Amino acid sequence: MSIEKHPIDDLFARKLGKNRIEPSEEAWAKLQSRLQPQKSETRVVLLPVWRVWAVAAGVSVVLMAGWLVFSPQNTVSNNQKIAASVNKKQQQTQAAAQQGVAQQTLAQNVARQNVARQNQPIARTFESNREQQSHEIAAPANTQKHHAAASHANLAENTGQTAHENPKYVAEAPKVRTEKTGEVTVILNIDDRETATMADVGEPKPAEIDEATPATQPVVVIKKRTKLMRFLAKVRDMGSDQADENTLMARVNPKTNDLESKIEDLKQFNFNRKQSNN
Amino acid sequence: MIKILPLFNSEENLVKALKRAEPKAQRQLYDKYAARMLAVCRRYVMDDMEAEDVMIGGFMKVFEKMEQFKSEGSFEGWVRRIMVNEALMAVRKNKGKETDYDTNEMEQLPDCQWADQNLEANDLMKIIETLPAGYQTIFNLYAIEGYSHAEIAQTLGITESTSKSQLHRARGWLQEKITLIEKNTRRRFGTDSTINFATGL
Repeated sequence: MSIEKHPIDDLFARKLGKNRIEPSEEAWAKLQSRLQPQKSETRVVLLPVWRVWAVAAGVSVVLMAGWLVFSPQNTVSNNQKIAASVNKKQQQTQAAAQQGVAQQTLAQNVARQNVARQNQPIARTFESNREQQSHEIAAPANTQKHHAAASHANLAENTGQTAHENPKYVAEAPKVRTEKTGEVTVILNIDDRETATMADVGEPKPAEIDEATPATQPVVVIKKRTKLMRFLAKVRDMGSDQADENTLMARVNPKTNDLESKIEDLKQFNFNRKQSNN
Repeated sequence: MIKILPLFNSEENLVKALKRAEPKAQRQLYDKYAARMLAVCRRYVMDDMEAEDVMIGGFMKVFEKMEQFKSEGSFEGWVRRIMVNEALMAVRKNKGKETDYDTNEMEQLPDCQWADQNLEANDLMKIIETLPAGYQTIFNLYAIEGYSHAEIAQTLGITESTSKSQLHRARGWLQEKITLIEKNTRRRFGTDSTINFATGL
């Protein structure tokens, strides 16, 4: 049931409902002029948004790739490879040492008889040798010295407890740093070619130690670290109790002597300036 | 004989092209609806130039909101509604000019036969122009666009009773004008092109 429309409403609806008024010729031009800036504006706004997303995606890809390359797992595998090669060289050195020299056997016998007395000087000798090396390679050598001293302390404690065995270099991940009785842990940071050569040069020294202290089995844990990994490890250690301030300083700025001399120069400069002002 | 066929021969194709913002489709839509939509805007906005600006703004809105058209109802009705809303926004800007008028409602239904036979669209437009802005808007929305009082109340932010009362007053105003014009025309024995639609004389 439809409601009847009011006559006035009906009259106007019929006559005006489909009425037409032609617009002026300029109307379309006006409409176009209002449409054009909107389109160009849209392009200007959209392109930077795409670029921003593209840059963000690129950065994230680079970060992911960086993480995969410098992840600890890769470092461990590198460590294992390097440690295996070092182990091979060391075994060759042992074979040569066992074949050749009768005097060394004699020295071993003497060493067995005077184990307690000889341990200290040998430890000191080894430590002094390490310290000399540590002066040559500034940053990583400090860590070597630190761990070498600790290893010789273990060496002195463990002497004579186990049977005489030839020393070995065993590759292990840093976290699996061995704590077994009778084993000595020597950590060598092989950071570049120079330090790798240093490791080779230092090979006979564990053999000497072994001759003097037959009961120990030195274990070499070799870390292959990039500069970034070293820095991150130090930052991590700063929060823990194991932080070593001296080592950190040496690693952050290998040119410690230069810095100290600069500080001295600055102090002298300030002193001179105060005197001139007075 | 050359016959110019439109590029988008169906409304569906035209709508799809408009959603892709194709300039040719926009031009075709303008050519098809501009005159009708300008007449709609002109019923709300009395100034010719202002009405044309309102129509241009309405087409801008149509092009911007094409994605919102769901093809469920009439496309022309959807465009017309956008035009009406644009016109109402223009009316709101000029709201300060509005004054309230007292009109006498006709108790009897008027006889519109003479007006239907003798008055054309332009004449009726001139009569509508004499209405106060508030009456004019509500009469247009209700009588010509077909809005309900509820829709008018929601659109204009007024109560339904206000919408109803203003519609009755608008009808009375128009009826009064038509009666006066009819009386003067009959007295002069014919249609007079010099009728003053504002006064009915």
